[in-house]
Amino acid sequence: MLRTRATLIGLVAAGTLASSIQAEPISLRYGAAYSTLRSIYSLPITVAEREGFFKREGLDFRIVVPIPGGSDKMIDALHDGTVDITHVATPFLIRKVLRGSDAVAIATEFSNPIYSLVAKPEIKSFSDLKGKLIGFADLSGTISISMRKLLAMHGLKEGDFAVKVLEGTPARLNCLTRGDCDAVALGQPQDMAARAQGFVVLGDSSEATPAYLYTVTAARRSWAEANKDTVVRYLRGLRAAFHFIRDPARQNAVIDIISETSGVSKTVAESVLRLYFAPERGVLPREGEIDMAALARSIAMVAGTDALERPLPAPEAFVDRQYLHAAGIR
Amino acid sequence: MRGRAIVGFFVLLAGGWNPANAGGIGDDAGEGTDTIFFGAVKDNRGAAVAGARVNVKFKNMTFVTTTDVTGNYRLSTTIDPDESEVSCSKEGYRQSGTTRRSPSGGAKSPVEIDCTLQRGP
Repeated sequence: MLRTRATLIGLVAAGTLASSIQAEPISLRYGAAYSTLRSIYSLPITVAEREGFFKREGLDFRIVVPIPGGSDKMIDALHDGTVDITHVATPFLIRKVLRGSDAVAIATEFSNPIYSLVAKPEIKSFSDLKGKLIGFADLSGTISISMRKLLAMHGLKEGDFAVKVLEGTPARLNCLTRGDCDAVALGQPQDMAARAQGFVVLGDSSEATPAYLYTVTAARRSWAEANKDTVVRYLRGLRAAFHFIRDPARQNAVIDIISETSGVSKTVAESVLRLYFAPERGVLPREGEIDMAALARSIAMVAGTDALERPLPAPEAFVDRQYLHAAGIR
Repeated sequence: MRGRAIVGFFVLLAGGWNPANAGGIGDDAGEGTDTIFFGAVKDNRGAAVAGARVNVKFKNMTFVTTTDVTGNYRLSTTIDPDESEVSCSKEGYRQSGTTRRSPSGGAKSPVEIDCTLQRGP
Protein backbone atom coordinates (compact mmCIF):
# COMPACT_ATOMS: atom_id res chain seq x y z
CA MET A 1 0.00 0.00 0.00
CA LEU A 2 2.76 2.38 1.07
CA ARG A 3 4.75 1.40 -1.98
CA THR A 4 1.78 2.09 -4.28
CA ARG A 5 1.23 5.48 -2.61
CA ALA A 6 4.91 6.38 -3.00
CA THR A 7 4.79 5.36 -6.65
CA LEU A 8 1.69 7.52 -7.19
CA ILE A 9 3.31 10.51 -5.47
CA GLY A 10 6.38 9.97 -7.61
CA LEU A 11 4.32 9.90 -10.78
CA VAL A 12 2.42 13.06 -9.80
CA ALA A 13 5.70 14.85 -8.98
CA ALA A 14 7.20 13.76 -12.30
CA GLY A 15 4.08 14.94 -14.09
CA THR A 16 4.18 18.31 -12.36
CA LEU A 17 7.86 18.71 -13.23
CA ALA A 18 7.19 17.77 -16.84
CA SER A 19 4.34 20.24 -17.16
CA SER A 20 6.42 23.03 -15.60
CA ILE A 21 9.20 22.30 -18.08
CA GLN A 22 6.65 22.30 -20.89
CA ALA A 23 5.21 25.61 -19.69
CA GLU A 24 8.57 27.33 -20.15
CA PRO A 25 8.21 29.25 -23.44
CA ILE A 26 10.54 28.28 -26.25
CA SER A 27 12.65 31.18 -27.49
CA LEU A 28 12.36 31.93 -31.20
CA ARG A 29 14.19 34.86 -32.81
CA TYR A 30 12.62 35.99 -36.08
CA GLY A 31 14.62 38.29 -38.36
CA ALA A 32 13.05 41.11 -40.31
CA ALA A 33 14.53 43.96 -42.33
CA TYR A 34 13.98 47.43 -40.97
CA SER A 35 11.88 48.33 -44.00
CA THR A 36 9.63 45.29 -43.61
CA LEU A 37 8.30 45.93 -40.15
CA ARG A 38 6.00 48.83 -40.90
CA SER A 39 5.07 47.57 -44.33
CA ILE A 40 2.12 45.43 -45.34
CA TYR A 41 4.55 42.50 -45.63
CA SER A 42 4.77 42.14 -41.87
CA LEU A 43 1.01 41.62 -41.60
CA PRO A 44 0.96 37.84 -40.96
CA ILE A 45 3.62 38.09 -38.25
CA THR A 46 2.05 41.15 -36.65
CA VAL A 47 -1.34 39.44 -36.52
CA ALA A 48 0.16 36.28 -35.02
CA GLU A 49 1.98 38.36 -32.42
CA ARG A 50 -0.92 40.59 -31.43
CA GLU A 51 -3.49 37.82 -31.33
CA GLY A 52 -1.23 35.64 -29.22
CA PHE A 53 -0.97 32.79 -31.74
CA PHE A 54 2.74 32.23 -31.11
CA LYS A 55 2.27 32.48 -27.37
CA ARG A 56 -0.53 29.91 -27.61
CA GLU A 57 1.98 27.59 -29.28
CA GLY A 58 4.33 28.02 -26.33
CA LEU A 59 6.77 30.32 -28.14
CA ASP A 60 8.65 33.29 -26.75
CA PHE A 61 8.62 34.98 -30.17
CA ARG A 62 10.96 37.93 -30.62
CA ILE A 63 11.55 40.10 -33.67
CA VAL A 64 15.19 40.92 -34.37
CA VAL A 65 16.23 43.67 -36.79
CA PRO A 66 19.85 43.41 -37.95
CA ILE A 67 21.50 46.82 -38.50
CA PRO A 68 22.83 47.47 -41.06
CA GLY A 69 20.12 45.37 -42.60
CA GLY A 70 18.18 45.12 -45.80
CA SER A 71 16.74 42.31 -47.84
CA ASP A 72 20.14 40.93 -48.87
CA LYS A 73 21.38 40.60 -45.27
CA MET A 74 18.67 38.38 -43.83
CA ILE A 75 20.18 34.99 -44.73
CA ASP A 76 23.52 36.20 -43.34
CA ALA A 77 21.71 36.83 -40.06
CA LEU A 78 20.76 33.12 -39.97
CA HIS A 79 24.38 32.14 -40.49
CA ASP A 80 25.94 34.49 -37.93
CA GLY A 81 23.45 33.39 -35.27
CA THR A 82 21.65 36.74 -34.97
CA VAL A 83 18.30 35.06 -35.70
CA ASP A 84 16.82 31.54 -35.80
CA ILE A 85 14.39 32.08 -38.68
CA THR A 86 13.91 35.03 -40.99
CA HIS A 87 11.61 36.86 -43.33
CA VAL A 88 13.27 37.00 -46.75
CA ALA A 89 12.34 37.73 -50.35
CA THR A 90 12.89 34.66 -52.54
CA PRO A 91 15.62 36.07 -54.85
CA PHE A 92 17.91 36.65 -51.88
CA LEU A 93 17.26 33.15 -50.58
CA ILE A 94 17.87 31.63 -54.03
CA ARG A 95 21.18 33.44 -54.50
CA LYS A 96 22.48 32.49 -51.05
CA VAL A 97 21.56 28.84 -51.55
CA LEU A 98 23.32 28.81 -54.92
CA ARG A 99 26.42 30.14 -53.12
CA GLY A 100 26.33 27.32 -50.59
CA SER A 101 23.92 28.37 -47.82
CA ASP A 102 21.85 25.57 -46.31
CA ALA A 103 18.89 27.96 -45.83
CA VAL A 104 15.47 26.83 -47.04
CA ALA A 105 11.97 28.25 -47.21
CA ILE A 106 9.72 26.73 -44.57
CA ALA A 107 6.55 28.78 -45.26
CA THR A 108 5.13 31.41 -47.59
CA GLU A 109 4.42 34.83 -46.11
CA PHE A 110 3.40 36.76 -49.25
CA SER A 111 3.06 35.77 -52.88
CA ASN A 112 2.16 37.64 -56.04
CA PRO A 113 2.83 41.16 -54.70
CA ILE A 114 1.34 44.18 -56.41
CA TYR A 115 3.74 47.10 -56.91
CA SER A 116 2.62 50.24 -58.69
CA LEU A 117 4.85 52.48 -60.78
CA VAL A 118 3.86 55.93 -59.54
CA ALA A 119 5.07 59.14 -61.23
CA LYS A 120 4.96 62.90 -60.74
CA PRO A 121 1.71 64.54 -61.87
CA GLU A 122 3.32 66.03 -64.98
CA ILE A 123 4.34 62.57 -66.23
CA LYS A 124 1.36 61.28 -68.14
CA SER A 125 2.78 58.22 -69.92
CA PHE A 126 5.69 55.79 -69.95
CA SER A 127 7.38 57.68 -72.75
CA ASP A 128 7.56 60.77 -70.50
CA LEU A 129 9.95 58.78 -68.28
CA LYS A 130 12.80 58.93 -70.84
CA GLY A 131 15.80 60.52 -69.19
CA LYS A 132 14.05 60.68 -65.80
CA LEU A 133 15.05 59.30 -62.39
CA ILE A 134 13.13 56.25 -61.12
CA GLY A 135 13.31 55.01 -57.53
CA PHE A 136 13.72 51.23 -57.42
CA ALA A 137 14.21 48.71 -54.66
CA ASP A 138 17.35 46.52 -54.60
CA LEU A 139 18.16 46.02 -58.28
CA SER A 140 18.45 42.26 -57.95
CA GLY A 141 15.07 41.85 -56.24
CA THR A 142 11.74 40.93 -57.79
CA ILE A 143 10.28 44.44 -57.35
CA SER A 144 12.94 45.92 -59.60
CA ILE A 145 12.86 42.96 -61.98
CA SER A 146 9.09 43.32 -62.46
CA MET A 147 9.34 47.11 -62.79
CA ARG A 148 12.02 46.82 -65.48
CA LYS A 149 9.80 44.32 -67.32
CA LEU A 150 6.87 46.72 -67.05
CA LEU A 151 9.00 49.56 -68.45
CA ALA A 152 10.30 47.32 -71.25
CA MET A 153 6.74 46.33 -72.16
CA HIS A 154 6.07 50.02 -72.68
CA GLY A 155 9.16 50.63 -74.79
CA LEU A 156 11.68 51.76 -72.17
CA LYS A 157 14.94 49.84 -71.96
CA GLU A 158 17.99 50.08 -69.69
CA GLY A 159 19.71 53.39 -70.25
CA ASP A 160 16.51 55.21 -71.19
CA PHE A 161 16.09 56.22 -67.54
CA ALA A 162 18.28 56.72 -64.47
CA VAL A 163 17.82 54.61 -61.33
CA LYS A 164 18.10 55.39 -57.65
CA VAL A 165 18.00 52.45 -55.25
CA LEU A 166 15.90 53.03 -52.12
CA GLU A 167 15.06 50.27 -49.66
CA GLY A 168 11.41 50.21 -48.62
CA THR A 169 8.24 51.70 -50.06
CA PRO A 170 8.16 54.59 -47.51
CA ALA A 171 11.66 55.71 -48.56
CA ARG A 172 10.67 55.65 -52.22
CA LEU A 173 7.47 57.56 -51.48
CA ASN A 174 9.54 60.21 -49.69
CA CYS A 175 11.78 60.50 -52.74
CA LEU A 176 8.73 61.07 -54.94
CA THR A 177 6.99 63.56 -52.65
CA ARG A 178 10.23 65.54 -52.16
CA GLY A 179 10.53 65.78 -55.92
CA ASP A 180 13.89 63.99 -56.07
CA CYS A 181 12.49 60.99 -57.96
CA ASP A 182 10.34 61.36 -61.07
CA ALA A 183 8.73 57.96 -60.54
CA VAL A 184 8.99 55.18 -57.95
CA ALA A 185 7.81 51.62 -57.28
CA LEU A 186 5.32 51.59 -54.40
CA GLY A 187 3.48 48.83 -52.58
CA GLN A 188 0.26 49.17 -50.61
CA PRO A 189 -1.06 51.29 -49.10
CA GLN A 190 1.34 54.04 -50.14
CA ASP A 191 0.55 53.67 -53.85
CA MET A 192 -3.11 54.43 -53.16
CA ALA A 193 -2.16 57.35 -50.94
CA ALA A 194 0.16 58.84 -53.55
CA ARG A 195 -2.54 58.64 -56.21
CA ALA A 196 -4.88 60.56 -53.93
CA GLN A 197 -2.26 63.29 -53.70
CA GLY A 198 -2.30 63.70 -57.47
CA PHE A 199 0.56 61.42 -58.43
CA VAL A 200 0.04 59.24 -61.49
CA VAL A 201 -0.09 55.44 -61.45
CA LEU A 202 1.36 54.37 -64.78
CA GLY A 203 0.92 50.63 -64.25
CA ASP A 204 1.54 47.80 -61.83
CA SER A 205 3.80 44.78 -61.58
CA SER A 206 1.02 42.25 -62.16
CA GLU A 207 0.81 43.45 -65.78
CA ALA A 208 4.40 42.37 -66.39
CA THR A 209 4.97 39.29 -64.24
CA PRO A 210 2.96 36.15 -63.59
CA ALA A 211 2.26 35.16 -59.97
CA TYR A 212 5.48 34.25 -58.16
CA LEU A 213 6.56 33.47 -54.63
CA TYR A 214 7.55 36.76 -53.00
CA THR A 215 8.48 36.47 -49.32
CA VAL A 216 8.98 33.39 -47.21
CA THR A 217 10.10 32.39 -43.76
CA ALA A 218 13.50 30.75 -44.07
CA ALA A 219 15.66 28.74 -41.70
CA ARG A 220 18.92 26.87 -42.01
CA ARG A 221 18.29 23.16 -42.68
CA SER A 222 20.63 22.26 -39.85
CA TRP A 223 18.87 24.53 -37.35
CA ALA A 224 15.37 23.47 -38.42
CA GLU A 225 16.31 19.78 -38.18
CA ALA A 226 17.57 20.27 -34.65
CA ASN A 227 14.52 22.36 -33.66
CA LYS A 228 11.69 20.62 -35.49
CA ASP A 229 9.17 21.07 -32.69
CA THR A 230 9.85 24.84 -32.54
CA VAL A 231 9.46 25.18 -36.32
CA VAL A 232 6.15 23.30 -36.28
CA ARG A 233 4.85 25.49 -33.44
CA TYR A 234 5.82 28.59 -35.45
CA LEU A 235 4.02 27.29 -38.54
CA ARG A 236 0.87 26.54 -36.54
CA GLY A 237 0.94 30.11 -35.20
CA LEU A 238 1.45 31.50 -38.70
CA ARG A 239 -1.39 29.38 -40.05
CA ALA A 240 -3.70 30.80 -37.37
CA ALA A 241 -2.70 34.30 -38.52
CA PHE A 242 -3.62 33.58 -42.14
CA HIS A 243 -6.96 32.13 -41.03
CA PHE A 244 -7.56 35.26 -38.93
CA ILE A 245 -6.70 37.65 -41.80
CA ARG A 246 -9.05 35.79 -44.13
CA ASP A 247 -11.92 35.56 -41.62
CA PRO A 248 -14.61 38.15 -42.53
CA ALA A 249 -15.61 38.31 -38.87
CA ARG A 250 -12.10 39.53 -37.99
CA GLN A 251 -11.85 42.15 -40.72
CA ASN A 252 -12.06 45.15 -38.38
CA ALA A 253 -9.19 43.85 -36.26
CA VAL A 254 -7.06 43.31 -39.38
CA ILE A 255 -7.90 46.82 -40.60
CA ASP A 256 -6.79 48.23 -37.23
CA ILE A 257 -3.47 46.42 -37.51
CA ILE A 258 -2.79 47.61 -41.07
CA SER A 259 -3.72 51.14 -40.08
CA GLU A 260 -1.41 51.16 -37.07
CA THR A 261 1.57 49.56 -38.78
CA SER A 262 1.37 51.57 -42.01
CA GLY A 263 0.27 54.92 -40.56
CA VAL A 264 -2.77 55.17 -42.84
CA SER A 265 -6.43 55.61 -42.00
CA LYS A 266 -8.71 52.66 -41.41
CA THR A 267 -10.53 53.47 -44.61
CA VAL A 268 -7.33 53.12 -46.58
CA ALA A 269 -6.45 49.92 -44.76
CA GLU A 270 -9.85 48.52 -45.70
CA SER A 271 -9.19 49.32 -49.36
CA VAL A 272 -5.97 47.26 -49.18
CA LEU A 273 -7.97 44.23 -48.04
CA ARG A 274 -10.45 44.78 -50.86
CA LEU A 275 -7.59 44.89 -53.37
CA TYR A 276 -6.19 41.59 -52.07
CA PHE A 277 -9.37 39.63 -51.49
CA ALA A 278 -12.24 41.07 -53.56
CA PRO A 279 -11.66 39.35 -55.88
CA GLU A 280 -9.05 36.93 -54.54
CA ARG A 281 -5.66 37.79 -56.08
CA GLY A 282 -3.54 35.18 -54.36
CA VAL A 283 -1.45 37.76 -52.52
CA LEU A 284 -1.57 35.82 -49.26
CA PRO A 285 -1.37 32.03 -48.88
CA ARG A 286 -4.26 30.16 -47.26
CA GLU A 287 -2.14 28.70 -44.47
CA GLY A 288 1.51 29.38 -45.30
CA GLU A 289 1.71 26.66 -47.97
CA ILE A 290 4.46 26.90 -50.57
CA ASP A 291 3.41 26.95 -54.22
CA MET A 292 6.26 25.21 -56.04
CA ALA A 293 5.17 26.51 -59.47
CA ALA A 294 5.26 30.07 -58.12
CA LEU A 295 8.72 29.40 -56.68
CA ALA A 296 9.85 28.10 -60.08
CA ARG A 297 8.77 31.44 -61.55
CA SER A 298 10.82 33.27 -58.88
CA ILE A 299 13.85 31.19 -59.90
CA ALA A 300 13.22 32.10 -63.54
CA MET A 301 13.09 35.80 -62.59
CA VAL A 302 16.43 35.51 -60.82
CA ALA A 303 17.85 33.60 -63.78
CA GLY A 304 16.92 36.51 -66.02
CA THR A 305 19.12 38.93 -64.08
CA ASP A 306 21.88 36.61 -62.87
CA ALA A 307 22.40 34.64 -66.09
CA LEU A 308 22.00 31.28 -64.32
CA GLU A 309 23.05 28.23 -66.30
CA ARG A 310 20.29 26.04 -67.72
CA PRO A 311 18.67 23.81 -66.72
CA LEU A 312 17.59 26.01 -63.84
CA PRO A 313 17.77 24.57 -60.33
CA ALA A 314 14.64 22.73 -59.18
CA PRO A 315 12.42 24.56 -56.65
CA GLU A 316 12.91 21.65 -54.23
CA ALA A 317 16.51 22.82 -53.67
CA PHE A 318 15.22 25.91 -51.86
CA VAL A 319 12.43 24.42 -49.79
CA ASP A 320 11.82 21.98 -46.97
CA ARG A 321 8.12 21.22 -46.64
CA GLN A 322 8.37 18.52 -43.99
CA TYR A 323 7.60 21.09 -41.28
CA LEU A 324 4.50 22.37 -43.06
CA HIS A 325 3.32 18.76 -43.36
CA ALA A 326 4.05 18.12 -39.69
CA ALA A 327 1.96 21.20 -38.86
CA GLY A 328 -0.90 19.79 -40.93
CA ILE A 329 -0.46 22.26 -43.80
CA ARG A 330 -0.52 20.90 -47.36
CA MET B 1 -6.91 49.69 -62.95
CA ARG B 2 -9.09 52.74 -63.52
CA GLY B 3 -11.75 51.45 -61.13
CA ARG B 4 -9.11 50.86 -58.50
CA ALA B 5 -7.82 54.41 -58.99
CA ILE B 6 -11.23 55.94 -58.46
CA VAL B 7 -11.95 53.82 -55.39
CA GLY B 8 -8.51 54.66 -53.96
CA PHE B 9 -8.99 58.38 -54.52
CA PHE B 10 -12.27 58.64 -52.65
CA VAL B 11 -11.16 56.24 -49.98
CA LEU B 12 -8.12 58.40 -49.24
CA LEU B 13 -10.01 61.64 -49.30
CA ALA B 14 -12.36 60.17 -46.74
CA GLY B 15 -9.58 58.56 -44.76
CA GLY B 16 -7.35 61.57 -44.24
CA TRP B 17 -4.03 59.92 -45.08
CA ASN B 18 -1.06 61.54 -43.41
CA PRO B 19 2.08 61.38 -45.56
CA ALA B 20 4.24 62.24 -42.56
CA ASN B 21 3.24 58.98 -40.91
CA ALA B 22 3.87 57.02 -44.06
CA GLY B 23 7.61 57.81 -43.86
CA GLY B 24 7.65 55.67 -40.76
CA ILE B 25 10.03 53.04 -39.69
CA GLY B 26 10.49 51.63 -43.15
CA ASP B 27 12.81 54.38 -44.24
CA ASP B 28 16.30 52.93 -44.25
CA ALA B 29 17.82 56.27 -45.05
CA GLY B 30 16.56 57.42 -41.68
CA GLU B 31 14.87 60.54 -42.97
CA GLY B 32 12.34 62.34 -40.81
CA THR B 33 12.16 61.22 -37.21
CA ASP B 34 15.44 59.56 -36.42
CA THR B 35 16.58 58.35 -33.07
CA ILE B 36 20.29 57.75 -33.10
CA PHE B 37 22.00 55.49 -30.60
CA PHE B 38 25.77 55.55 -30.53
CA GLY B 39 28.58 54.70 -28.17
CA ALA B 40 31.38 52.30 -27.49
CA VAL B 41 31.79 48.84 -26.03
CA LYS B 42 34.85 48.44 -23.80
CA ASP B 43 36.21 45.79 -21.51
CA ASN B 44 36.71 46.43 -17.80
CA ARG B 45 40.25 47.72 -18.49
CA GLY B 46 38.92 50.28 -20.95
CA ALA B 47 40.05 48.52 -24.11
CA ALA B 48 37.76 48.67 -27.13
CA VAL B 49 35.83 45.46 -27.89
CA ALA B 50 35.44 44.97 -31.62
CA GLY B 51 32.69 42.71 -32.99
CA ALA B 52 30.55 42.97 -29.87
CA ARG B 53 26.82 42.70 -30.40
CA VAL B 54 24.78 45.73 -29.31
CA ASN B 55 21.07 45.12 -28.74
CA VAL B 56 18.48 47.90 -28.57
CA LYS B 57 15.25 46.43 -27.24
CA PHE B 58 12.00 48.26 -27.93
CA LYS B 59 8.66 46.60 -27.20
CA ASN B 60 8.68 43.26 -29.06
CA MET B 61 11.62 44.18 -31.31
CA THR B 62 15.33 44.06 -30.85
CA PHE B 63 17.62 46.01 -33.16
CA VAL B 64 21.01 44.33 -33.37
CA THR B 65 24.28 45.78 -34.61
CA THR B 66 27.96 45.06 -34.02
CA THR B 67 30.83 47.29 -32.99
CA ASP B 68 33.51 48.25 -35.50
CA VAL B 69 37.24 47.68 -35.07
CA THR B 70 37.45 50.64 -32.68
CA GLY B 71 34.65 49.27 -30.51
CA ASN B 72 32.16 51.92 -31.63
CA TYR B 73 28.64 51.48 -32.90
CA ARG B 74 25.90 53.68 -34.36
CA LEU B 75 22.31 52.72 -34.92
CA SER B 76 19.59 54.85 -36.49
CA THR B 77 15.93 53.99 -35.90
CA THR B 78 12.64 55.75 -35.31
CA ILE B 79 11.89 54.28 -31.89
CA ASP B 80 11.35 56.23 -28.66
CA PRO B 81 14.66 56.12 -26.75
CA ASP B 82 12.86 56.50 -23.42
CA GLU B 83 11.17 53.14 -24.00
CA SER B 84 14.26 51.34 -25.17
CA GLU B 85 16.85 49.28 -23.37
CA VAL B 86 20.43 48.80 -24.57
CA SER B 87 22.62 45.81 -23.82
CA CYS B 88 25.77 44.29 -25.29
CA SER B 89 27.27 40.84 -25.57
CA LYS B 90 30.18 38.89 -26.96
CA GLU B 91 31.19 35.28 -26.60
CA GLY B 92 33.59 34.88 -23.70
CA TYR B 93 32.35 38.05 -22.01
CA ARG B 94 29.51 39.08 -19.76
CA GLN B 95 27.98 42.53 -19.50
CA SER B 96 29.00 44.45 -16.38
CA GLY B 97 27.26 47.76 -17.00
CA THR B 98 26.03 50.53 -19.26
CA THR B 99 26.41 54.31 -19.08
CA ARG B 100 23.75 56.43 -20.71
CA ARG B 101 24.22 60.10 -21.61
CA SER B 102 21.06 61.83 -22.78
CA PRO B 103 21.34 64.77 -25.16
CA SER B 104 21.19 68.25 -23.71
CA GLY B 105 18.35 70.72 -24.10
CA GLY B 106 15.55 68.20 -23.69
CA ALA B 107 16.19 66.55 -27.05
CA LYS B 108 15.61 62.83 -27.27
CA SER B 109 18.31 62.02 -29.78
CA PRO B 110 21.18 61.29 -30.20
CA VAL B 111 21.56 59.01 -27.20
CA GLU B 112 25.06 57.95 -26.20
CA ILE B 113 25.25 54.61 -24.44
CA ASP B 114 28.54 52.97 -23.57
CA CYS B 115 28.59 49.34 -22.55
CA THR B 116 31.16 47.48 -20.50
CA LEU B 117 31.99 43.81 -20.91
CA GLN B 118 33.99 41.69 -18.54
CA ARG B 119 35.82 38.52 -19.50
CA GLY B 120 34.14 35.44 -18.15
CA PRO B 121 31.00 33.35 -18.62
